[in-house]
Amino acid sequence: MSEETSNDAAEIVQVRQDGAIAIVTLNYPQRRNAFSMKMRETLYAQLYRLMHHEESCRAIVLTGAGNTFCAGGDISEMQPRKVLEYRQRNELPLDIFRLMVEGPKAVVAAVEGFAFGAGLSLAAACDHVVTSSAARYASAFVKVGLLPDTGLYWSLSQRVGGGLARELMLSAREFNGVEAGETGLANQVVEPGESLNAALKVAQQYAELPSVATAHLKAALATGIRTLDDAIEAEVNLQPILRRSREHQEAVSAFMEKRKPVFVAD
Amino acid sequence: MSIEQKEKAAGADEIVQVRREGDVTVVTMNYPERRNAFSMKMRLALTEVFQRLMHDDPDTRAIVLTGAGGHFCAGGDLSEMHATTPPLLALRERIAVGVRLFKLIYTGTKPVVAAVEGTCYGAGVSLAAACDVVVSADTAKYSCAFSKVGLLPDTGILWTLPQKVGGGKARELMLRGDVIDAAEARRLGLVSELAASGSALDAAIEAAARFASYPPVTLALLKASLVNAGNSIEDACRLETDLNPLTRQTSDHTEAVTAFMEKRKPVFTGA
Amino acid sequence: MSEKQTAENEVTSLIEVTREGPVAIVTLNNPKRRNAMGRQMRQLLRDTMHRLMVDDPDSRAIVLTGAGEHFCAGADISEMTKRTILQSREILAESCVVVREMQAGPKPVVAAVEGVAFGAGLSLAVATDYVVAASTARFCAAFLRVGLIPDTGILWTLPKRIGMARAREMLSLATEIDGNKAVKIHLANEVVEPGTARAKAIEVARGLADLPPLGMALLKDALTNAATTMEGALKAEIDYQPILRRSKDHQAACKAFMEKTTPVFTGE
Repeated sequence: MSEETSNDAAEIVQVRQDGAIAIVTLNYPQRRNAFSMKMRETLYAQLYRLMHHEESCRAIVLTGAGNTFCAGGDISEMQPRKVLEYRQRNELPLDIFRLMVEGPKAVVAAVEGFAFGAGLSLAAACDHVVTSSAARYASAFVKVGLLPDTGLYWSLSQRVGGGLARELMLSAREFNGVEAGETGLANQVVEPGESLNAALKVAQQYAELPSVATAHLKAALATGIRTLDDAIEAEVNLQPILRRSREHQEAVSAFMEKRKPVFVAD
Repeated sequence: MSIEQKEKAAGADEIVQVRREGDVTVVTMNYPERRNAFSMKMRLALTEVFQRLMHDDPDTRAIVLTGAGGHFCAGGDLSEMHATTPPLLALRERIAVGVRLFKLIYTGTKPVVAAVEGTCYGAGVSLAAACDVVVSADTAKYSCAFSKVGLLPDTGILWTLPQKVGGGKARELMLRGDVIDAAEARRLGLVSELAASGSALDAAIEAAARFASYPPVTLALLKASLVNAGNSIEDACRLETDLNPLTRQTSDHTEAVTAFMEKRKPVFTGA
Repeated sequence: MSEKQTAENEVTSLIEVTREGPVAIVTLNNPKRRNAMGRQMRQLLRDTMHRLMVDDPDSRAIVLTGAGEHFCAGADISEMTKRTILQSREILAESCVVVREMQAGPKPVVAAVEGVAFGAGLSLAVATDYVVAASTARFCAAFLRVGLIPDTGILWTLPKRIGMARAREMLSLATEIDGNKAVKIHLANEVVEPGTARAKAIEVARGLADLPPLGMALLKDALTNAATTMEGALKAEIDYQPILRRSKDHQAACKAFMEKTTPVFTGE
């Protein structure tokens, strides 16, 4: 089970490793990387492996082939189905969303071109978003009589605030990378074509920080922290673990000895 | 007088005027001598109108809320508050009226677009913040003036203002009650779109008309979901799993997919 | 002075309280260590803040600042010795009490930040109601760099100010920003020339001190405790507004409005 990375042009989700960074590329460019069932299954499997079974990977970059991120659900797959089948088909996108948000490693999006519908959901679920200024975003769901999926309710509200999330989801209006940067959807806006390079730099920063602390911070933020009590509960529960970790003790020693710390996870 | 003239004459006296512009219904707060102050009478009239539009008017697909006389709403009617101070329990019921109105706007089945000119103070900000989209004249002015007169910001603004501008900024605006201009309101996210002075209403009607081109059931379900869906991952996942299959069953969804494949404009029926 | 009092004075000097009119100024006072906070100092801050909030009729607003050139460099790392799990839990909960006091307490708190606000120093700054930052102030959630998760309530207070995307970035990557950037992203409410943050904070606090105190208190309580859900926010309105409508200060405000005079508020 060792060689599962694949840069094969035929793979619908390509994965290659760049040092401690895994680059995950949605690869269905003839359909602008539409979020087909096969794409979802492969993405889930790869993300699960990287998050939980790949020690050499310390951070993940998510991007799209063919200069576009993901144009949304695959409309050609939207034939009528039974109600229970719809419920079941909804599980996989939510599992992907949860994996990205609750998993132990940071995911950095590099967005060029289109991020519509589920493409927007995937970008918003990332920890850090680097966007081309010319990227085009829209919560297009309502236009085709659908509700937002793949966790967009939560992830968009988190990043741009409930009020703007509401407006964007109801109106389905398009906005570009510049506005994404202004509103908090994106952390960083770059020239078209530059997002992958910039995303790799950020992923490298994540990779160099203590991994146990990073994982616990992600877990804490995933609980939602809606109230001060939530925040206090998260830190009271988790901080004692960190205080006893090798990484923290190394950091304290390094501070006292006035040297750079060398982090080794427990 | 013609029927239209009679209707218009009758409407001119109404503290809340209602008129249709195609699929959009325009609701105008009409108490210009007090800059549309949020008196008890105004609250009750607005509640009645929104109740009807949201629940008993299938021809209305989107709503615009605006004010007469070049102002949106100057806030609570201080002269009314000075004149009478009802007993505690009666006051609770009065506040509850404002809460019912807020819920109709915020959790109702149709999108609401605010068109703001001039003064938008106190409850005026609450009303705007409750709307899904706020179109503002670039000369409009905003102030959460409640704290200055010893009142709590009300009509849902404790929830909606942080949703629009973030908790930190909302706290600052509500604590201090400072006046901010439309450009600042736009930068903060309270306002969605700026328009030239005098043209907020036209721009708002245009924005509202776009909603009318989306399947009404989907919009209604979406607004309902949005109340709680952002609260936690569990809530978001549950609402998705429960409601998405419902939308896929609608003929409007089928029509949207078919229209997309056939590369034509969809025609929605609300089914 | 008795020996006990002398000892108390030495201890209380870690947190100093001075006054300017209705404003109480709380100064973190450990300037040789850039006001880094050990447990004793945190406990003192908690007790001082509590006393000012509920047992100090002379103040209507509070300013929080640091002695010397800095606000607060964070927790005292030299105190991070091995502790038992239960000790750690207790200490963490203890540090959060002051955050709740500032966020939900009845009086407005204004931070005056010069120099560094790192780690728990940043947590304290963003737990206030209004942050005045010198343009050269430096903000950094340094926790991750020492293998800890950000604490002292910052997981709630920072995203509230700057949104979750930017908060995630600052908290996860321990990036540093200055006062100018801080005000742009709303981490700070206002940016001023270096050396003038304290004076500006006192000015802001005086303005807040002039507002009806009861409304202020109920608003802060509602925002922190009730308005974290829509239904909670609506319930707070129905519960609190009638009390305020019947308050003397509200009546005074209405009267002043009608007569075009300036009201004076007593807190009743």
